[in-house]
Order: sequence, then C-alpha cells, then structure tokens
Amino acid sequence: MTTTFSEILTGVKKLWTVSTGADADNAAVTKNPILIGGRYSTTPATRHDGDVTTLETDSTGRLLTVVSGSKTTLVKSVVANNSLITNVSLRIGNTVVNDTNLTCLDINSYPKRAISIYNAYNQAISLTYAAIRSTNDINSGGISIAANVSIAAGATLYIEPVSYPLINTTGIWLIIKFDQGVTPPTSGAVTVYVYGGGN
Amino acid sequence: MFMGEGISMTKIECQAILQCDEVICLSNSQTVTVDAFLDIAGFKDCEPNLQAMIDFDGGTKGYRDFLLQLSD
Repeated sequence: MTTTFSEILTGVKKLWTVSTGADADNAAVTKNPILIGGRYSTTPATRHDGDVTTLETDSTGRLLTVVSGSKTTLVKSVVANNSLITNVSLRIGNTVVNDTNLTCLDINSYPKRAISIYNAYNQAISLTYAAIRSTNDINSGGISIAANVSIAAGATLYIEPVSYPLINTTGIWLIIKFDQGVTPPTSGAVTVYVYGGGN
Repeated sequence: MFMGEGISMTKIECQAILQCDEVICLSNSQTVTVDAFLDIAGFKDCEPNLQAMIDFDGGTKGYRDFLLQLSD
C-alpha cells in the first residue's frame, strides 16, 4: 500500500487544531480546550463557577499565586532578667513575676503554636514546665507540654509540634516556669517568644 | 599570672573542634550559635581543646554531655 502526498496532507489537516472562541479563556467550558502556559493581564477578569480559566502571570511572566490560610504572628515576647531567676522560680505568662501575681498568657485565638526560648544567661537554666491550662490560674492543673528540659547557656530551645506534640493541645492559658540550673547565673536574661496561628 | 589568664579560643578554633559552621545543634530542638557559645557561655576564655571545654563547662553550662559525645 502506498500513501500519496495528498493523503498525508489530509491527515495533518485533521490533526491541526486552532484553539479559538469563547472556550479559550473566561468562559464556560463547552468543548475540550487545550490549556498551556499562562497569560498576563493588567485587569484580570472575574471568573464564575464552572468557567475555564488561564493561569495568570505578572508582567514578567511569573505565575501569580495567593497563599491562603492564617499567618503566624508573634503573640508575645517576654524578657526576664538575672535577678528574677537567681532568687526563686521564674514564671512567664503575660508578664514575668516571681510570685503568685501572674496573669497567664491568653492563647485561645492561636490553636497552632510554637515557642522559642533564648537563654542568654551565662549558665544553663531549667525549663521546669510549660503548660496549657483551662483557667487563668498558675496553680491550676493543665496539660504539660514540656518539663525539666535543660537549656544550655546561650542556646535556644524550640518548642514546636514535632518535638513537643502537646503544644497544640486545646486550651486557653499558657504558663512557663523556669528555675536556675546547677549554678545561678551572674549575667544575662531569658527571652521567650510565643508564636501563634489560627486554623 | 593567674590560672587561665591569657587563654582564649577563637571562632575558627571552636568551629574546627566542634566541626560546625555558624550554628551548633545540641539536639533536635536546641541550638546555639558559635558566637553565643563563645561570648555568652564564655568558652572564649577556654583553652581550645575538647577536654578543656568539658572542664570549663563544669556541669553548669549545659554542654557537658554534648562535648562528651564528641570526645567518644
């Protein structure tokens, strides 16, 4: 069997498709549009449910995306100085105190959390506990996130969901307690950063 | 001369001993920068060798176990 040049041209003609018409962009799908690449538009059109759309780019061809979801914010940073931890236990909630007049930190709006503790003391300190409680009371019961963790001098401890999965436990109030290590520090401070994100 | 007077450890010496760059990973959840290790923990005043650093820690700065692991 031989194929004539005319038959080849006919075959090519059937393969060749020109994408035109309303299906190409910003219209309800009626056929089978071929979508390849993106398009830059100074005023992107408003699409409707069920529309076929193009990928939008900026003027340099970079694909435009929108990151959705809640962002993580710094809920609280608290700094405690040397004089507090060398006397008695140091508690950090909404502020820093070494007695019972402490307001716990409200984390109710931040179900996704991470805590960074920077020990700038010149000696190791002990994170006696970090806990989430249902009441604003430093002496009430609660869920212990971490307990008896030594933080080396100059080091930063990260309390995040991988190493400390209980950090995202449902609860309203956060309380953190420190004690000095083997030796009282003679200089420095500890800084606690609490980060939180919504659902 | 008092004991320890004049002894110092440079950042490069520290990085060579601890085999690190700018940050020392003490565990999965705890890190310290070399600068903080030298300046805040005070190891800049230590002789630049592992045994001297273990002795300098004295079980109070929180690096003893980490340094002992390196010496094994």
